[in-house]
Amino acid sequence: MSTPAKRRLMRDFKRITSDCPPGLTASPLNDNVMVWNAVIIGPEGTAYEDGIFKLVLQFSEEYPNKPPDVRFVSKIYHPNFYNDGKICLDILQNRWTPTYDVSSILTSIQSLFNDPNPESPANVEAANLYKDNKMLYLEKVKECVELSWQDDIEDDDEEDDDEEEEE
Amino acid sequence: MNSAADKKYDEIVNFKVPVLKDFDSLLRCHICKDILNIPVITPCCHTFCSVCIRDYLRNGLDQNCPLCLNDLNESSLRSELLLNEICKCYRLDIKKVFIEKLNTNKENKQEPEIKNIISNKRKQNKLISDSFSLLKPQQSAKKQKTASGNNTIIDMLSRKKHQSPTIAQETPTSTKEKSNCPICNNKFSLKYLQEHHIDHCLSSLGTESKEIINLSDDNKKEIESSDLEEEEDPKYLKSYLQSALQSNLIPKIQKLPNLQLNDITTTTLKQNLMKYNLPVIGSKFNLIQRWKQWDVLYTSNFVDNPSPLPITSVRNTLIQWDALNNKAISANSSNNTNDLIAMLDNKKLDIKSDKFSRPTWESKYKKHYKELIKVARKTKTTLKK
Repeated sequence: MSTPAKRRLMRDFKRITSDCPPGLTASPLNDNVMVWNAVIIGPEGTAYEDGIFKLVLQFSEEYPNKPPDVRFVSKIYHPNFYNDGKICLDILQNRWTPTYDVSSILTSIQSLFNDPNPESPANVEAANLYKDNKMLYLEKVKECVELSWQDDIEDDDEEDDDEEEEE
Repeated sequence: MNSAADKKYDEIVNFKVPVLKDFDSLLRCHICKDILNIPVITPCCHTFCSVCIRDYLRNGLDQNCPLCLNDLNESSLRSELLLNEICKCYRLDIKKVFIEKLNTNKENKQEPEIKNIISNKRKQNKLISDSFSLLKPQQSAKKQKTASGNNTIIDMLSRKKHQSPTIAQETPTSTKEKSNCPICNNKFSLKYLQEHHIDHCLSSLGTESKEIINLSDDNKKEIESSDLEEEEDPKYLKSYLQSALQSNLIPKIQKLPNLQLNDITTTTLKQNLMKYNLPVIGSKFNLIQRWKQWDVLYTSNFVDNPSPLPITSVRNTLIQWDALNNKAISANSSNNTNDLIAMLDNKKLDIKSDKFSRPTWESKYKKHYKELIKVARKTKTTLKK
């Protein structure tokens, strides 16, 4: 039994698996296609380089007429992301159009890592530091990037074993 | 098109004929991302499925073109008659020829087993029944000419234009002039296929008649005929020309009354629904949703579709939609989409609420995220290389 929203989400999934934009990916939960988990890796040449940022997306049956809810699960320090992980991005609010899909939503979020927009801040402190005290801003970002590796480091031993076995 | 055939086709498009991928993506609606169904064009020259754009303009956030964000009024949408035929031809015929060709190639390699044929038949049944709302059986049979021959996939397409009856006549008994039945996938002479077999095969839809499959070679020879003088019908062209002519001649069906849904009474709403023989069960919210969807489907079919389906079939589509999307929900929660999902999926998940705990979620889906991280890293490194 599929609704237009679910059919569209399956198409989105097909697209993100066949033409995956670099450094990001997403897939629906096994038991609920209306909720997706996603990962964006901090783009090269930015302060967020190699940071691992986890997100969750929740779609309604009105998708793609209405945008999904998107929230960071990982802690993140960025002018356009709230401390609780919510995102201030025009295309997820008033500039949403039904032509966007999961892939383009995540690409837009990823591009905020390249170009933070301090003019419409979600995290006022981060926006002010970004404008007035770059050094301190970069330090705070570094902290959050290192924090994003924590899980990964914990699992590293385990994962290394896995990979060796695979090879 | 059913999903198995669709998947197979996507594989071909993506891996074997990349040039088609571009063409394929041009014919897709930017809203549903499927092949355009009853395309309509905006004054800003952007094209969408009729149902998709009408639904968006009524229920979306804005009254603008999803592609260029220019203001867009629903009344300014116009049907794209030619594109409609192109998309129909692509969706119903071209894709099928590709899938059939792939099936034939596979069967040539291995001994065809009855099991295979039956499963193919099932797939093809769906395919055919999809197309049958639009095509007559005889028309559908004619297009099987395009499925004959042992050429490569690309040859198939270019041949479609050049295929002439005389070529086929030169070797009347060779297998080249035989065509695959789209339903049971067996080979028959074109004439037999068109005049007898397709009808027979269709009349046994769902009964899995093995008689067709077991038809011996001797029998086939008996019914084979060498006269193939009929030129292939450019049926989509005909349909286009007809629809273009008719669009001025046929009086448009009466539009639905424009109901003021904000302050309408349940009684008026029910009266209007009953006028069109629609169900009147559910809350007021359900009734409004039902009427809105009916308006979209009705307008799309009778205003935009050059060959409108009978009202009963529009009604069936609505009833199907109703069963999936319009479950009995109290009107109170209708304003909150998240409550709505939670109720439909029987899960009280709302990632925006303060109760949503990010650390709990993170550890619950640790494995899922780990897989995603691996994939994301891989795509990043492939880019570097």
